[in-house]
Order: sequence, then structure tokens, then C-alpha cells
Amino acid sequence: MESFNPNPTIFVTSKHRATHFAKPHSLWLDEEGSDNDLETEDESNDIEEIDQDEIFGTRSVLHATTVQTYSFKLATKDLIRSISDPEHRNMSLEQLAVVSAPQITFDRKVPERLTVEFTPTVPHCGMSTFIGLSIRVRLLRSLPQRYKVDIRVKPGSHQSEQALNKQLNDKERVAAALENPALLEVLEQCLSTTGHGNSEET
Amino acid sequence: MNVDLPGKFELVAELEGHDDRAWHIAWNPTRNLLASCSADKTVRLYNFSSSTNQSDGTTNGLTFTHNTTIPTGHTKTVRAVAWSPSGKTLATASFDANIGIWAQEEDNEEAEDSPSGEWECMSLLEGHETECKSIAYSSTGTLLASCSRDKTVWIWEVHPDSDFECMGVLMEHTQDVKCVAWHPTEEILASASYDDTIKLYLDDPSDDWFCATTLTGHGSTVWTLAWEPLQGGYLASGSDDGTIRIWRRLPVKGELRFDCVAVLEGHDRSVYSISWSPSPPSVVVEGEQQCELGLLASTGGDGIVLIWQITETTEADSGKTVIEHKIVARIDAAHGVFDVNSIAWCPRTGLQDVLATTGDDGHVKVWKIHV
Amino acid sequence: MLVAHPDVQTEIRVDFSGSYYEVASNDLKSGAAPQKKLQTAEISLNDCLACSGCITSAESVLISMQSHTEVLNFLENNPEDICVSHKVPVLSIAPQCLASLAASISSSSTAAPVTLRQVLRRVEAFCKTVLGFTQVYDTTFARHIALLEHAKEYRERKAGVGQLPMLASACPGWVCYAEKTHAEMLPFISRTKSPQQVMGTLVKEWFGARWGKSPSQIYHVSVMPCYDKKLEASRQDFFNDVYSTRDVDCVITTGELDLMMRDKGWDLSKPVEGEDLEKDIGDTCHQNGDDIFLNDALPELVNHPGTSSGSYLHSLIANMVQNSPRPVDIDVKAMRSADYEEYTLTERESRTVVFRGAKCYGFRNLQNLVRKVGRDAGLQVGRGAAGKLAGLRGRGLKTRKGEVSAPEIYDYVEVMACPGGCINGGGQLRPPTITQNGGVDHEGFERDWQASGVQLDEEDIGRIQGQGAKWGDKEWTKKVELAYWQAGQPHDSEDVQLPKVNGIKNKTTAVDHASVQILRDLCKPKDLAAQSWLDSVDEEAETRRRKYFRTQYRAVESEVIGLAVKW
Repeated sequence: MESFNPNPTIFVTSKHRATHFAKPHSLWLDEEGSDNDLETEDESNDIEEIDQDEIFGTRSVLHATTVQTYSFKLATKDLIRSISDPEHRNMSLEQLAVVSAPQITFDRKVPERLTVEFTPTVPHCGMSTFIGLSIRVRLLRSLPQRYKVDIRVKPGSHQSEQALNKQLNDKERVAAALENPALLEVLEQCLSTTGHGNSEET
Repeated sequence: MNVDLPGKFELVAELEGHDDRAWHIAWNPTRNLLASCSADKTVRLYNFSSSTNQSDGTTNGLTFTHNTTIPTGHTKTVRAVAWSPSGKTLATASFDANIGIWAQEEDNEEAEDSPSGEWECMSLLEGHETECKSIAYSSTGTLLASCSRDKTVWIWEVHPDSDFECMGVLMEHTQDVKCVAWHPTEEILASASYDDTIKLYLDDPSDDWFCATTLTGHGSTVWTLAWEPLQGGYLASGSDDGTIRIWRRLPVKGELRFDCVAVLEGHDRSVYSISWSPSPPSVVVEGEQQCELGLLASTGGDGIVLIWQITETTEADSGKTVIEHKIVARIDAAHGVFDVNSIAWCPRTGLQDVLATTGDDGHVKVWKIHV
Repeated sequence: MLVAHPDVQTEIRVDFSGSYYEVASNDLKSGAAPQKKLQTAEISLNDCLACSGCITSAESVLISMQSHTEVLNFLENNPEDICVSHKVPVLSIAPQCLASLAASISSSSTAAPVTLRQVLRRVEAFCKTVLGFTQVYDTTFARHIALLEHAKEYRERKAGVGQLPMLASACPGWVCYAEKTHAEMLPFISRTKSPQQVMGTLVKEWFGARWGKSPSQIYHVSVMPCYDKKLEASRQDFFNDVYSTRDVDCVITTGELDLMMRDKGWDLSKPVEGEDLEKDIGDTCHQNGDDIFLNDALPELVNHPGTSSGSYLHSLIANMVQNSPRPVDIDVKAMRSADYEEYTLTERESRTVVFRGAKCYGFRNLQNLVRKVGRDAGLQVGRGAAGKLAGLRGRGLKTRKGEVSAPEIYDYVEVMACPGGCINGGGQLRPPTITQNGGVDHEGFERDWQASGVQLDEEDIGRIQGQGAKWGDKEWTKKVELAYWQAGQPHDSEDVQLPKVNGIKNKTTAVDHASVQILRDLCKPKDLAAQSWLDSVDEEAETRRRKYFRTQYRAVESEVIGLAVKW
């Protein structure tokens, strides 16, 4: 994993936080035992501080000038960076430059709203809906529930950009997708790598 | 923000119990019964009773008690519930593509209006290929409409003994159909879709149901529909574009035509649900006829509940009709940090100022609106 | 996912993005596969069948591989007939297609409407002189055989071999839908081949033997009113493993044939020489074993009174009325519309119901039929998702008070997926539209309908303009229906609904005889005295009969590959 790390400096700073955040905080699935619940509780408070800072701050969160936002951003990225690519299971989305820290942005007014952008490897990539879904599910399960996430394809990076964005942000479609056993199975496989990456780094 | 508005929300009850996101809610039209459904595949039924204030006749308190939980047997999320106008039958629409028809067992010769038996699945309507998203009984209860991600709208005729006959499979939308809503008095069906349009259907007595008109204007998915409940002269629609549009039915003989007469802006995320309450009688003010069209409640992904007062003003001389709207009450974070998925005014006499909402927190909340 | 497509010696590879690549088979084996990305099929589901999500991506490839350009490509590259690799090009056209074409050229200025025979002659002239087809047939004789075999199958089922009701199998849209979503209906579906596939057998097996050609030395194109006939032709059951060829190599629609004619500048409204001449072998045939099929002709435009979708129900009824020992009455009850009618045969004296049948067209009626058949048979209708609920349903359903009589179970149902039946198939010519944008029709082709001779009176134009396509389609279907029955038969509604028993007897004797000849030639029964198609034959001949005239169905599992799931 480490050998692929493109930016060691950033990762050194983000690592600590990332490890904490990355503990599953399941919205819908009780995937890990209850001992994690205490920990996640703590993390929620942890983020709370950061965000309160931001809500009342005047600086643009988009530019990520404060240490806290920056690290939260990296933490968010850390949640999704190690998702496996559905076609190349041994590669992570980060390794394929599908996701990156600058592509995670916060609403200027409401910091609980963030937009995660991803870049399909090719403009006709048929896996994009699936990748978007895996990002969506990872964040749904990991971020505190008050975060509302929009997932978008990087503008101009996919031929069905609009259709993709619409589908990924339709919560009913996402909810129904997660009730499809065949789809869920592949999804879990791609998300199974997310836990490992973090523990290696700790 | 709330302080500027005349209306106030009073939380009457918060009903927990669903293990997962609560999607939809429906008040029984004839009995004090509230149904909610959830991703946990169950339907929960609540009884409620109200005490009346002796001095002014207003409703004092509302007490909710859990009546029963129907496990349904649906293999996936129960997305929507609908009561027949008689209040005796409940329909469930599920992501498993099926529709369940439920009625209470009548074990003994009990009073007709208060059966107490178990809720049984009387019939199963299959046909949709993918998730069924919405379901609705026509005003007379003789027709049932459903819609699905398979892009179709189905119309079933309700026969005695829980028998159903398929009357039409309408393949007019180009995408996922999110909502179906029957006109309050006529056999006109409206459907809203992910294709950003609304379609209206009529029955050709000598032929099949057909799409009579398509309403375009929303900039994204249309999630929800509500007819003005008394006359049905207006249709409201809520969309992912954050707006609610009000469409007026034009008095064109032999044709079904609608014009968009208002765009209500107040939500900043998807509008998932709207509900329209009946209006008090109209008044005449200085040569203008002012007709209160009642209160429209809306909610969605921003967690806000808004109450809009809709007024129709007709100038006496020109006959020109104008629709005015204003927000009279608002509550933020109605379900905390969660999305609010469904909203419904109570149809029971004396309780028309009562609203119920459901959210991603799995809770059902009941509110009294003081306007 | 690999989809074999032997006709072109290539295979289609579907990658994870849902794109299709054509890969030469040999290359595929060697691993070095130059791939040609294919265009996505441009057929909307509404063209195929009135249901969504039925056609899988692999199927839409199969459909798109059979097109008029495919036919033209073949003809262009077909080596001369002295070469071994030359294939004899044969075209068969369904009578519904002829009716659609006839309606489109019936001009208001011409007193007599164009007959199916005239259209057939003109199409034949076009296909032979312009395209280079060797033979052109209509599929009514094949249909006649299908109807005979169908009647035989019904008798078997009635006698207890197989289940009732028997449901017609000629509509590939219905078969496809049943295989995917109503597997519980499959035992009820008639296993008799459709007219198209019987024609395939006639051309490849029977004519092949006559001409000294192997099945792969014949290229058989069929013109059909329906896109789903392309799917039917590409079913594994109709693939000849020995010769690596299909009974029908390529199916094109009426619209595609029309397009070809217009591309080649062929004016179908112009008469051709001898277009009224009958090529019928009918009255002149003898029963002494002579070759009755002169000049490779088949009985032409065999009329089957009843419905324009093949008269499956009516031919059964006619058969029963004919063979009934006691007089019977026929009652017809329209269920809400002409697309759903119930037919009851009752013995006049005893009032005993001897047969209950129905004609059931359109996706909506089909739903009710599936519900009824499932309920009557005590079956669980539908797919897995419903399974758990169905248990509850069983508990909840109550016996209806006072109802003791058994449900009125059908014996036979003529099922068609399209409203109006095959005459209104998705591959038929679209109704003329009078539009502002220079007469561009539904398919986007420029077309001046008035100039091309489409009969439209003032009233028509007004109504077409006033209303949407809905009305237009219906009125248009009526015109095509009329054209269909112009084949010389009366088309009063009573006549259409009730088969003329006596008429059938005379008319069909010759054709029946020809059919039996085919049976003898193909199935080689030991006893050559067989005079009727319905006669039983020895076991070996019976095996051959089943091979040549019957088929089978299988439930299709839905997509279970996670990455391919459409959500």
C-alpha cells in the first residue's frame, strides 16, 4: 500500500485522524460488533469540534485553509481511497486516480454538506455508476449521519455525466440497489479493502 | 427564521419502532389509525384518540398507541402504503416489485367499523419488473394505481373478494416512475417521474387508459404529487430541483390541460413529499373573489417542513385568476439531521391541523400546526 | 458474456461496460482478437413488445444483427451459383406484412384496393429482379401446417398428455416474456412451432432435399410484422448443429423491407405483370402420389378465417365443430374490448360446455390471463420475490361464500402480446402522420403519405391532426386489418368471428393434401396411407414429426452478475 502513496507528507498528517474516522459507523448495516460503537461515538464528537469551528469561521472551507477542514477532507478521502476498483480488484480508487483529496469539497454555508467528485478512468467507463455507488455506500456507512453527501463525476470526464450524477444522488435508487443481493456482494468485496488499508497504516 | 412566521409547530407525538428508514405514512380515512412503512419491511399501525376541549370544541390532546406491526412478508423495503377510501383495505408497495393487499380478518360478528382481527394479505399483485415506488386508490376505491422503476404505471380494477383486474399498463415515462396520485373526485391519474415530467391519464371507455397530457417544467426528478383535495382544480408537484410547482387545470372542454401557475421556492434539497389540506370556504373582498385553497405541507432532503398558504384570487371584472402563496410555518430539522421522506395531513374531522412525517431516522412524528 | 452468432462466423463479446465487440471466432480461440466495437442496438422496447426490461442486452444484439443491411451484405457477397459456397437466397413473407404494405399503397384514386396477391407479386418481383432472390413465398402454407400440428397437439393435451389450457406459442414476445417472468406458464404454452419456424423447416429441410442442397446452402430470410421474430429465429432450438445454420437466417420487419424497396427506388404502388395470376396448386392437384408442387411453388395465401393473428383459436374451434358428433353452439363474449374475447362451445341438446377458449391480445390482457390461468391451476404466479408473500396469501384467501362451482377453466387461449394482434406488430409500417415538419414519419423518414398513395380522407386527416398517435394507430390498424381480409374472403365481423365450417372444408382439402405430402416427405411414416395430418404415425416418424414441427421452452434466470445489475 505505502509504495503507492503519492503524497507522503499529506498522508503523515492525515493518518491519525483517518484511522479514527475509518472505523465503520454503520448507517444501515451492523457490520462490526458493538464495541465499535463507543469509538465511533467519540469520533463524532471529534468531528463536531472541527465543524463548529468551520460553521462560524469566515474562511472559505473550499480552500481548506484550516488544519481541521483539511484533515477532515483527507479523512473523507481516506475512507474512499482504498475502495477497490471493481475491474481491477487489487487496485484502489486512489491508485487509479479516481478519487483525490482536492475533489472533496464542502458547502461554504453548510459544512455538513460535502461534494465528492470522482474521475472515471475513461469517459465511457461502464463501471462508473458502480464506483460512484461504492463511494456513496462507504460514506453512508462511515460518516456521521448528519453529513449530506453529493457524489459527482468530474465535469467533462464521462459521456453520461448527467445521468450518472442523477442516479448516484437519488437516494431511493441507491437504497434499492443495496437490496439487490448480487450487486451488494460485489460492493462488499470492493469495500472489504477499505478496512485493511487503514489498519496497515496505523 | 421561524419567529417571523405566524404558524407554529407543536410536536404531538414521536413514534419510534421501525428498525430502519421510514419511507411513507398514510392516515386511515375512516378510522383513527395511522400506518407507516419502512425499509425494515414492516408496516406499523398506530391508534390514536383525541380529547376535545369542552369550552371551544378544539382538540386538546392526541394520544397514540401502537396497534400492531404487520411483518408483510415483502422481501424488500416497503416503500409506500395506501388506504382504500373505505379504510378497510391497506395496500403496500415494495421494492420487491409486488403489491400487497391487506385486510383485517373478521373473526366474529363484530361491529363493522371496528374489526380487530389480524391483518392478512388478501391478494398479491405482481407485474412490475422492478421496485414498486408508489400506490394509490382512486376516490371511489374502484381503481388502484401503482408505479415502478420499470417505467410503467399500472391501473388495476378492484373487484369483490380482493380480486383485481389489470386495466392498463402505461408505458409513457422514459424513466423510473416515482409517484402516482388520483384526482380527488374524477378518474384522472397523475404520475411523476425521474424523467422530470408529470403525466396525466384518462380512461377511454371504448379502449384503454391513455396519457392525455404531459407537464414539463421541473428541472429534475419529480418525487411527489398532491391534488388540491376539494375540487382537484390544481395539482402540486415536488421535485429534486428543490421547487414545488402548482399546475392549474384549464377549463377546456373535452381536453385535459394544465398550466404551471406558481413555482414555490423554499427548499434547498430534494422535495420528497407534499400534502395538501382542504380549504375553508371562499370569501369576497372588494370585487375580488378570494379562495383559500388550503395549506400545502412540504418536506424533503433538507429536513425542513414548510407550510404554504395557497390563495386563488379572481378579479371580478377581468375574471383573471392569480395564485398566491406564502410560507406560514416552518420547522427546521424536523427529524434532526435526517431527511424527511413523507408528510401527510390528517383527514379526520377535527384533526385537519394535524400532520405526520416520517424520516430516515425511522421515526414517525405527529405535529399540530397552529396557524 | 459470449453470444454465439454462427451465421457470420463471429462472436459477440459483451464487455463490462455493456459495449459489444464483434470477434472473429478463430481469433477468439487464438487469443489475438481484433475487436470491432458494435453499435448499440437502436431498437426501443416499444418496437418489440409492450413490456419493458424484457430484452436483455445480448438479445438486442441478436436483433440488431438481423437487419436489412445484413441481407444486402449477404446478397452482395454471395458467390455465384456455380460456386460450392453459393447459397440459394429464399425469402418468406408473412401475410400481415403484405397487408401492411397493401394498406400503405391503397390509393383513394384507385377504385379497387390493392390485394395481398398483388402485393405479394410486386414484392416477389422486387426480391427476384432487384435483390436476386431465387424464391419468394408467403408463410400461409407454413401456417396451415402449424395449425394442423397445433390441432393435433391440442387433441393430445385434451386426451391427458400435457396440460390445459393450451396457450398459443406463435407470438415470440409472449414466449420471451413467459420464459423470463412467468416460468409457471411454460407447461401450458403450445409446443408447436410458429409459422415462421415451420417455414424454416420447409425451406431448409424439405426444399433443401428437393433441391439437393444442404440446409447451410440456403439463405432464408423471413419478413415479419414483429421484431421479436428475430429473437425467435435465433433460439438455440432452431439452430442446426450439424450444418451450423439456422432454419431462418435473417428476419427483417415490414418496415425494413419497405425501406429496402425505397432505397432501391422500387415503387410498390406500380403493378407488375401477371400480378393477379394465382400460382395456386390448389384445385389441380391429384392424390396419386404425383409431385404436386409444380415449379417449386407452395400453396399461396391460404386463408384462415378467424383472426388476423393466425386464427389459432378459430381453426381449433372449426376442427371441433367439424368433428363433433352432436351439434354445438358457439357463444362469443367480448371482455371489455375486442382484444379479449371468450368463446364457448356448447352442445345444443345437453347444454354441456365442451370447450372454453379465449383470444387474448395485448400486454394488459396478458396480465389478467396469467393471473387467471395461475389461479385456476392453483399455481403460484410470478418470480421468486413473491414467494414468501404467496404463503401469506394462501392463508388470507378465503373461500368465497356460496361459490361451489369450479372456476371456468379455459381449454385454449390465443395469446398475442400486441394489442390488436400481429396485424399491429412492432415491425409493421407506421401509420401515416400528417406533420408540420415536411411529412417525416415516426421513424424519421421523410415521407409524403398522400403522394405515396396512402388513402386518407378528409375525416382521417382532421382526426389524425386533432388527436395524438393513439387514435391514429388504432384507425391505421383497422385499415391494415381490412387489407388483410381482402384476400378474397368476406370480412364481415360475423364471418370473421365465426369460422364458416363448410367453406373451410372445401377450401382446405387441397392444401391439407399438400400438407400431408410434406408430412410424408419429412417424417417418412411407414404407413404411407396416412390421409390426414392428425392421423397417428409410427414411433420413428413421430420422433421426426416432433423434431420438425415442435419445439420447447425454458425458464430464463434473471441477471445475477453483480456488476451487470442495472439499478
